Amino acid sequence: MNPRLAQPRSAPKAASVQPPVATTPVAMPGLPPASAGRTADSQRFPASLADAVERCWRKAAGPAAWIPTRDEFQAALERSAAKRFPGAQPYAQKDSEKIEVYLDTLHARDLALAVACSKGSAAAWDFFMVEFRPELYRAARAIVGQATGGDAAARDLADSLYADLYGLRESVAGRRKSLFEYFHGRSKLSTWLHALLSQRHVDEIRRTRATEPLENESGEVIAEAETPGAARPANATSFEAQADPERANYLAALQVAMAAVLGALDPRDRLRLAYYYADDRTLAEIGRLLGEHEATVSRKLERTRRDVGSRVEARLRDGKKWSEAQVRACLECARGEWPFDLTAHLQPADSTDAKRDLSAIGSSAAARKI
Amino acid sequence: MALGDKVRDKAAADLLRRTLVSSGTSSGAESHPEPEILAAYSERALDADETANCELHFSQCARCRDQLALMVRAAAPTGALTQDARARRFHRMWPWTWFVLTPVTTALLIAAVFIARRPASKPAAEQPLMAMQTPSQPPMPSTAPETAPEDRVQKAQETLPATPASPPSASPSRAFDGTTQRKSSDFASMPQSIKQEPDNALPQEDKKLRLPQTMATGPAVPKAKSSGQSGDAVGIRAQTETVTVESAAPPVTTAPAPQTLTNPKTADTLSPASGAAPAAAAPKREQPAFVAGVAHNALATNEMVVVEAPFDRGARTLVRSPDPQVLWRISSGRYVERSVNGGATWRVQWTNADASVVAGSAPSADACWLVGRGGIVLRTTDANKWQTIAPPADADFASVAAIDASSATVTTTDGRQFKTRDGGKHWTVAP
Repeated sequence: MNPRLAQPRSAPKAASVQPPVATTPVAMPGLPPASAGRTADSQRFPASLADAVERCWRKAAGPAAWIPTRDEFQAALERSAAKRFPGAQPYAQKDSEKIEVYLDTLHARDLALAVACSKGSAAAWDFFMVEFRPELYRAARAIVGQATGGDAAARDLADSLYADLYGLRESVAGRRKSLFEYFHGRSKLSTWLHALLSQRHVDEIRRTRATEPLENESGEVIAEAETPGAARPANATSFEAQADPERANYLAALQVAMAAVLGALDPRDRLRLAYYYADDRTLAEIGRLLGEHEATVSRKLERTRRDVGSRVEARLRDGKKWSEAQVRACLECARGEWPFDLTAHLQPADSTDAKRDLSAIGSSAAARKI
Repeated sequence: MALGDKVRDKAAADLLRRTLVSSGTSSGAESHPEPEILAAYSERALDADETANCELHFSQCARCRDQLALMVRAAAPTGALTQDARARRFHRMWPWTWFVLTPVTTALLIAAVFIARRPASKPAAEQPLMAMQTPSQPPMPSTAPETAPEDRVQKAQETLPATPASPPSASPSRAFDGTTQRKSSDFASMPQSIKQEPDNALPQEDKKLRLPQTMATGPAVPKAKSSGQSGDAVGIRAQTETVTVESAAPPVTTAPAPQTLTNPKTADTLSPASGAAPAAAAPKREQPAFVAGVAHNALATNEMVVVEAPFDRGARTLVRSPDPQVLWRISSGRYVERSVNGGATWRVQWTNADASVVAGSAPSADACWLVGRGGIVLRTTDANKWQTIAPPADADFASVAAIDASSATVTTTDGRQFKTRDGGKHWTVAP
C-alpha cells in the first residue's frame, strides 16, 4: 500500500498571530461554523490556536480514502483538550498556551484514524484491520500467555474488542457508541489497544479466578498467597492474639506508623515498593515497568526501605514516646508470624487525596460501561 | 540498646510487605485511570503531575499494576523471553543441563583438537574471498590446472548441487560469497513481529556494499547516473542496476579460481575472484558494481550507500552518521533500523510513513532526516521518535542533505530543492 498524502480539503492559509486574548469564538479559516461532532463539554478553539491545529492537521495527513474532514478532526482535538484540561478556557492566554503545547504532543495521525473509524468509515476500518490486526493478535498472545489457553484464548480476547471498537452496542440515545471515541491521541493507537486488551484480560481473570494469581513474564504463576499475612482474613481474631494483647498493640502501632510513612513517600518510590513487596516482581521486571535500570531499581529500593524503617522507628520513638527497648520489641514482633491481619482495618493515609487526584487523571468507569 | 542493621532491614521489609499487600489488594481504588492514560503512562508521555497521580494510584491498586505488567509484556517482541525469565528457566534446568552439557562440551573439545591437528588445507572457496577483500594484491599461486573461465564455470556448475532457475530479471553477474543466507520468510513477517534482529543480524551479503555510481573510484563509469539528483529513488534503482565498467587494468593471467560459486537462490554464476581474471578475458564487460574494499572506503564519507537487498525484503539504504558506530538503514516506508555498533545489531523503529522512504541524512548520532515518495519528510532528533514534517511540496523526494537537526535541504525527483532552517516549519526554495 502506497497511499499518497491527502491534501487538506480546504487548504487554509495559516492564521497570523492573534491578540493574546480573544473574547469571541472565531471559526477556523475555511471551516463551517458549526459541527455535529462537537459536544457541549468541548469549546471551539480560538484563532490563536489555528497554527497548532494546522500543524496537527498536517501531521494527521493520511490516505485520502479515509481521512476525516478537517472539521471533524478539529472537533476531536477540541474534545481531547477539554478532556485533558477540564474547565479550561481556551480563550484565556494561559490556557491557550497550555493547549497549544498539548496539541503538539498528540498522536494526530492515530487520532485521525480513530475519528474516521468511530464515524464508521469502511475505508478507515479496512486500513485499521490491515495495519493493526496482526499487532492486536500478537499482543493478545503475549498477554494471554502460555498457561491460560494459548492462541484460541488470545484470538478470543482480540476478537472481543472489535465489537466495542466498532460500537455495536448502542447508547441510551440510540446512537452507536464506538470505543474509538475514548481515544484522544495522547498515546499511540497500538499502545492504547494494548491497554484495552490488558484491562479486559485482568478483569476477566479477576472475575473468573479471583483466587488464582496472574502468571509472570516467564509463564510462572506468582504465588501471592505465599506472602505472609496476605491471605489471612481481615477479621480473624485468633486465640493467639487474644492471649498476647501486648503484641497486638505493638503490631497495630507499627501498622499505623507504616501507613503514615508510606503515605508521605514519593509516589514513584511507593510504586516501586509495591511492585517489589506486594507483587513480588523481580528487579528486572520493575525496571521495565518504570523505565529504570535494574541496578537503579535495586539501589532505590534499598534506600527507600532504609528510609521507611528509620522513619517508622522515629515515629514510634517520638510520637508514642517509646523507649528504645519498646521499639526493639515492637520490631521484633514484626519479624515473626503475625497472628492476624490488622492492615485491613487501616485506610491509606492519603486515600481521600488519591481519590481526588484520580478525578483529575480520568476514570475508566465510562469506558467500561460500554 | 541499638538494633542491628539486619534486624532493622528485615523488620522493615516484613512490615512493607504486609502493609503494601494489604493496601494494594484492597478495594479502595474504585475508579481506575482510563486505558489511554495507562497507555500514555507506559509511553512516558504524561506530564509530571499526571505521572505522580497515576503512580500514587498504581501503588495502591493491584489491578492497575497487573494491567501495566501485561502491557509491558504485550509491547515486548514476539517470543522474546526476558533476561529474567531466561535466567529463571536456566536455574530451573541447571541440574539437567549440567549432565547434558558436560559430555557435549567434552565431545566438542575433542573434535576441535582433532580438527586443529589435521594438516591445514584451506577450503577452496576461501581463496576468492580473500582476493575480493584485497584486490590490489597479486593473485595467490595455485596448484590447480589452468583452465579457461568458461570451463571453470561449467565445472563448478557440475560440482555444485542443482539450483533453481534464474529469474529472468536477475542480473547476469552478481556477487555471492557462499555464506548462509536467510530465508525470505524471515523477512516476510518482520514488520509485525520483530523489533530487533538477532545479534548477527547483518547478513554476510549485506556487508558487501553496492557503491553509488558517484563514489566509484578508479575506472571511469560511463553509464552511471549521478546519485541523489538522478530523478528517482537512487537506492531502489541501484538494487537492480549493474554498471558497465571500463576496466583500466591490463589483462593479467592469473591462476584460475579452483571453484566458482553459484547463488543457490538465483543460480547466478560468478567468478568470485577479484574481477581481474574475467576482466582480462573481456576488458569491457558488465561487472558487479560492488567491490568490498572500495565500499568500505566509501563508507568513510557521510554519503548514502546502498546495501544489497536480501531477496524479497526490498532495497535497504544505509545512512551513515558522523559517529562511525551509528548507522541507519531504511528498509521500507514503515520502519527504519538503527545500529549503534557499526551494523552488528539493528533495532527497528516505526516511522508511521505510508510511502516509500528512499533517502536519508544523519547530521549527528541522534538526528536523522528521511525523505521519500509521496511528500514524505521525516525527522528524529533523539534517535527514537520520528516526526512527520510537513513537506514543502507534494512531490516525490529523491534526496536530503542535512546540516544539523534543524537545517536540511531536500531535493525532489524533478530537481527542485527546498531548504529549511527551523526543523521543517518553514521551507524556502533553494536557488
